[in-house]
Amino acid sequence: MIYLDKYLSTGGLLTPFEISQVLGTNHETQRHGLVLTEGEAREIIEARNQSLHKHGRLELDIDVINKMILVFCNSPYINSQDYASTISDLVDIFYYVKNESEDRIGDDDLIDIMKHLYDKSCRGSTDLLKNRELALLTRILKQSSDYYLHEE
Amino acid sequence: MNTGIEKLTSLNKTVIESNRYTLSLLDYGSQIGLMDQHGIDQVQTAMLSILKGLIIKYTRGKSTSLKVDTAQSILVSILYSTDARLSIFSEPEDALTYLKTNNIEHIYNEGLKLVKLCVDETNQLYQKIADNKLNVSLDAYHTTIDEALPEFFATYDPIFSAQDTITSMDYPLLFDDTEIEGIYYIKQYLEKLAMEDCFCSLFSSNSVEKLLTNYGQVYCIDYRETLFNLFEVLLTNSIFSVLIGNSANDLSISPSQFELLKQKFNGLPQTDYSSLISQAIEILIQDLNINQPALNNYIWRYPSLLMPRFCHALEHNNLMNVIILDRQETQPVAIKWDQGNNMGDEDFRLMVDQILECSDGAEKAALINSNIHSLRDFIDVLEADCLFDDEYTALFNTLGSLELSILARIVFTEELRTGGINYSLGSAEEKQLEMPWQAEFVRYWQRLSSEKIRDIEYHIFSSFPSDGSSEF
Repeated sequence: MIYLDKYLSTGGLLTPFEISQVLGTNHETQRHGLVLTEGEAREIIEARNQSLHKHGRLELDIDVINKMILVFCNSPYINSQDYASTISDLVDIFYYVKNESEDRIGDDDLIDIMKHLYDKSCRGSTDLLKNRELALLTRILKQSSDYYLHEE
Repeated sequence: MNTGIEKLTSLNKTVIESNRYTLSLLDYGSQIGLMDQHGIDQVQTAMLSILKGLIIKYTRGKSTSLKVDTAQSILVSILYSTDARLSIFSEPEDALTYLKTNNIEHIYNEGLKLVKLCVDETNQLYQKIADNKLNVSLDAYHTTIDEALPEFFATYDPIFSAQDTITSMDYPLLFDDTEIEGIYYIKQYLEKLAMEDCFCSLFSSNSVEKLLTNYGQVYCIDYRETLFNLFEVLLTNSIFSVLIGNSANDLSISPSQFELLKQKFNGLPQTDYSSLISQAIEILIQDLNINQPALNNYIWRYPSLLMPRFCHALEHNNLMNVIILDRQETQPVAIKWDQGNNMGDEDFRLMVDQILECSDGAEKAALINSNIHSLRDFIDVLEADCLFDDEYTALFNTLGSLELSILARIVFTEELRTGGINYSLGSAEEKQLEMPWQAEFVRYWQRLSSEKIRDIEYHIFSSFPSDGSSEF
């Protein structure tokens, strides 16, 4: 499809407006000692675009990045040195689970579950989060009849 | 909505593709300078804005992302609606002007209304068709109307997947247009089905079922479970029925009429076939009082399909696959006689003695049929002077068409040799024959109904060697 091809080939949205939106989260996160530079904001958006491409998904805004930052900024396992890369990893895991669960879980619910597992049973390990805890979650979700998305 | 015909513009030969009308219109506008890059970008941005709104609707506000395939499908659905609105204009230039002077969201909403209106109209048309279904034993026809189409209407989604035509509609039309998608495809399908049904309803159920039985026998299929177009089968036989002088609603064509037809065509240059078929169609339309212009046009599309098949079949001597010949309802088709299953001489003599002791023809016939299992023994009995007068008739009455066709081939050997498959046995005359049973057979033949003779002829000619030899 021509319009989506054009959109996807340009890497999606990477405008100054979107970068400033990500930087806008600094107001909330700086009290936890986490602040993104413009370069890091750009890196996160680029990583998110690559994740979307890798997982074959499309998103027309950057709400997931902002939600992820605002939920995870108080985690004891995120520090300022790997803040940007951890957010990028979490965003990638998020889209992976969306696909694996066949969209059976909403954005907010998934981010909340990820935060809980990341802080508790995974103790800050994104590998454990993806390969152990969320792998189990997706299996359960796939067996679930509670399909919230539009039924095709 | 454009139904598949490509529009050639007056300004140049750019083709506006009907199944991607909006996008192709933008390309065209760009080519002729009626749409600049800024305008195209505006349209693109507006499309993505509509898509974003629909993604939120689709996920019920719970997700901001979707699989690309799903998003693409929604975008195609948006374009389906804009296509519906923009293709109303007869000239692409007018559609372009409309596109430039109205925002895309407005055009989309107008298009969506048209699509929904089309769903309603098509559903109404469906109800009419369902209420007037043909009384015909075709499984695919009934499941398409009773199951597939209701399923389509129950699940069709003009907002998120307007372009989808996912159904299990198996019944094939004569002229389907599979280039069209979504509800507009279903609409054209039902409009054509309504026309085909209208035509098919001009024939009696009995004659249709009889033709289909014969059709099934020709192709060795259970016609009830086979996918084929009823309209085509009826139209074909009706055309050839007219050509041999029957009325258009008479679907029966006998083997002898079939031979006449072949003679008629074989005597003509191939270039004349077409005009002969056209004449028949004109008569057919008049005979059947077909006044609907749409149905009239639909019928007139058929020669382009029929002619290549007909010419090929005529050339390869398999016209019986195109024109379905009339034959009797299924008789016991299993032949009574096995080759080589002959009686021993002593047993045969004993049986003949028993036959002579029987008091009437029916008893003799029963004895013969229970003891004789080969054609050679059967002929030997006929020639053993153990049957008299009406006793032959009693015996012949117990035979099926297939057995009678074998006897007919023996009795009418000379006629078949000289006349070949063009010879009609219907008018057999009294003639000098070697054996009494043969004379009795000719007399028996003369008393048969024309339908019975047609059926026996069918067996004779359907296995007649192509070199004209009457050997079996």
